[in-house]
This record gives sequence, C-alpha cells and structure tokens, in this order.
Amino acid sequence: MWTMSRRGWLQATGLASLSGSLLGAKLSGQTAGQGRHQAHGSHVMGTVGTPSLDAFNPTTFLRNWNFSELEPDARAKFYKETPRPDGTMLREYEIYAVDRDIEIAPGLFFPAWTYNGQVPGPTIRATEGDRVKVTFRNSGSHPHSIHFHGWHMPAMDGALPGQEVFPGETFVYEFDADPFGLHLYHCHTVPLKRHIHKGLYGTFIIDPREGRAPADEMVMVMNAFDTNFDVENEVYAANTVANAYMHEPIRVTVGRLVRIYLVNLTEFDPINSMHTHGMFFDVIRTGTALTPSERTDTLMLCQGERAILETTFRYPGDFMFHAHQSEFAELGWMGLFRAEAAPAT
Amino acid sequence: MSILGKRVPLRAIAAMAVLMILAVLAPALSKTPTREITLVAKGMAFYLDSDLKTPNPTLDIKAGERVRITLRNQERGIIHDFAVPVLKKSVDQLGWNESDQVTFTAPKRPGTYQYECQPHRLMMRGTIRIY
Repeated sequence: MWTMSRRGWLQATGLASLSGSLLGAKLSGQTAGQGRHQAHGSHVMGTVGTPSLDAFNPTTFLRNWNFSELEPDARAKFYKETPRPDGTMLREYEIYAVDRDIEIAPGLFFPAWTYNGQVPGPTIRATEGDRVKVTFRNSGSHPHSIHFHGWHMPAMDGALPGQEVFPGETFVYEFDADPFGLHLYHCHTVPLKRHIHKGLYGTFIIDPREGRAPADEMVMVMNAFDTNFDVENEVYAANTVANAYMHEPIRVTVGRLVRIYLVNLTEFDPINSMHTHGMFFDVIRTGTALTPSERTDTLMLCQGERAILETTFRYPGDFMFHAHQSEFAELGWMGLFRAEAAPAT
Repeated sequence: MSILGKRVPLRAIAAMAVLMILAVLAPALSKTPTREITLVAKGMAFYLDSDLKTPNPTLDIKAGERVRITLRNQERGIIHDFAVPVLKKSVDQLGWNESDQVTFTAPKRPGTYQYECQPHRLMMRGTIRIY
C-alpha cells in the first residue's frame, strides 16, 4: 500500500495551501510576499496563512475559562455560579457533545468530536471545596461521556461499564472540586484513544483556597491530530491550530509573572514536551502544590500529565516556545511569546 | 363574426374569453398565499432570521395553511437540518452557509407539533402551533 511520510504529507498540504494563496493573490491582483516564501520554502517554518477564527480562536481560548469569553446572557446559558453558605460556590455547567469539522491548519479540516463545538473543550475552573455540577448532553453521533480527573464517587466516573451517555441522552455529573491542582476531563468511552483523539477533552483547573500569586494566566493544551486514521499524528499544536501563536504571538509583559496551565492530551505519541527560548520556568507538577519543585526550560509530559509553569520575562522581544521533539515542532507545535515593556506609570 | 355559420355578437365572444381566463386563474386566486418562514441555525439552536435573540422559537401557523420554511446553516463545521417528524418533511442536511427549503400544508386540526434538527434534536427543537 502506498504510504506517505508525515513530513511529506504536511509539505504537500502546505504547498497546496501556498498555491491556493498564490492563486488568491493573483486573482485579487496582489503581488504580496507569498512568492518570496516559495523561493526558499524549505526554510519556512509553519503554515502559510491562518484558518478562519470565527469557530475557534486560539488567542481567545488561551485566557478564558468558565465561558468568560461570552457576553453575559450567552454565558448564562452555559455557566452559573451560586455562592453557598459556607463561602464556597456551586458551579453549574452545560456541556454538550457535537460532531464538528474543525480547521486545524489553513484549509485542513478534521472531522472532530467536540465538547461545545470546540477543541479543546471549554476550560472549567473552580476553587477547592466548590461543588461542580455538569449537565452533559450528547448531541453527537456516538456514545460519549465525561470523565473528570479528581476525587469523586464511582457513579460520577463516566468510565465504568454502562456509564456511556448515548446520542440524545443527558447525564449530570456532580462532585466536589478536590484536590486543588491542574486536572483534565475527557471522554472515556471505548475505543478510548479514538474518543480522546477525536477532540473530546478539556482542562479542569481547581484553584487552592488561598489562591496563587496574581499573574497573567493562560491555558495551553498540547494536542495532535491523526488526519488519515493511521494511528499516527500528522498535525501538532498547542490549542489545536497548528502554528497559531506563530501568526498571532502571545502578548506578555516584561516583569509580570506569567502562569501557564500546560496539559498534554496528545494521543498515539507517548510523550510531548514544552521548551521555551531565552528563559527558564518553575514547575508545579499536576499543580498540586503551592510552590514549584523544579526549574527548567524543557518539560516532558506523558499522555494526560500536566503541570503549572511560572516565569517572568526579563527582556522585551519575541521568544519561541515549542515541543522539543523537533518533529512535533515542525508539524505545528510551535509559537511565539511577544514580550513588551510594562507601560510607564 | 360567424361560428359554424351562425352569427355571434363580438360582445358575447369577449365575455366568453373573460370567463375562460377567470376559470384558469380561479384556483390560484382562491388559494391562501404560502406563509414564508426563514430560520437560521447557529450556536446549536434555531432562530427566526427576523429575531436572532430567541432560540428555538414557537412557529404559529394557521390550520391548513401552505408553509414554506427555509433553513440557512450559519454554523461553521456542523451539519444541520430542519424536520417536522409528524409530517415526514425535512430539508436536506446542510453544511455551513447552505440553505434549503421545505414546503408543506399545515395540519387541518389545531394543536402542537415538534420541529427539530434531526442530528441534534436533543438541543435543537421547538414547537409548531397550529391555530
């Protein structure tokens, strides 16, 4: 059977999108920079152009949780918080599964299974001791579930036999937010690797009661896509869209603490990693401590593993970050921080 | 003027012609006009294109009325349709930015009927009220 190397495959699609751009440029009478790229195409890192952002915007996803990106009345449909007498919150979420074609690289659509139409699913964030109640509606074409990491009773696990939620059915998951840390949620219906890989996963943050130091916080989910169903990934990313943060660098401020909630939800490849240029960061593994346990510039995470990364930018300018598996980096898992001096006060 | 050798006044011929035209037009004129409803699918809900705030609106339709419903799918990447199961009527499954229409005669008896998006009937469904 004819097979194509993974890199060859991305180059082919990259070329296709490049020629598409050239054609577009010609048609609109522009002679913009695309042609120059082609002359030394082998040196170009990343994709040409960007996907449509109206279905999923990686920059918006980065710094939003509990549907904070939505207008208040739209948000109210998916998230409600009610203070409880003991000072904790009841946090109620509406999560649904739906099949959706998502654009993971310019012009490249992946037939995903999603939570709330997006991959990764919405970030859920509670404080230690809160009650979390998630109404899950399966509007997808297959049985699904939500399996949350954290303390909960078996009935709330979503993974045991008989706990799959069939299309058209609803289930309510309810548990206390415990322990504080950086967790995840994902579908636990068999075949598991397919259900996760198709896009059914998200980040679940539980803040410590006493809170953490104020910081510029962001969520990065390392993920990948097997676009031809050969049990190997062809496209890698932080937050789904290959090279999204190369095209739109993550803006940060020199001297301000940055906290990254990093979750590995890559399937098929046993590990993934994050490496930052020109800096080191502190690591709180699984987020279950208040103080970091190590300092590094390259962190390896197994499937389902996660860590909180903290750093403070010293210098203004662009700083790359990417998987230190060079192959993943070149297949989309690469981005830029753009550090700017703090505004004068 | 003569027809089959008999003289017929022009006025009578003109009257006949008018009657014949009316006879052809009459059924069309007597029919109630078709009610046009345009729906938009977005954010896992139906909306009237004239009211993008109310999800899955109730559609009020007269008993026996002809109805043409147009659905436009404005949700990128998700397939939607519009169906009235009890009438076995539906539009095609639509991709992003596609539209289709379905025409039907409302039931003669007042009552309520469900409409739905067949792949997403758990979330995308509403009521047709026949009055």
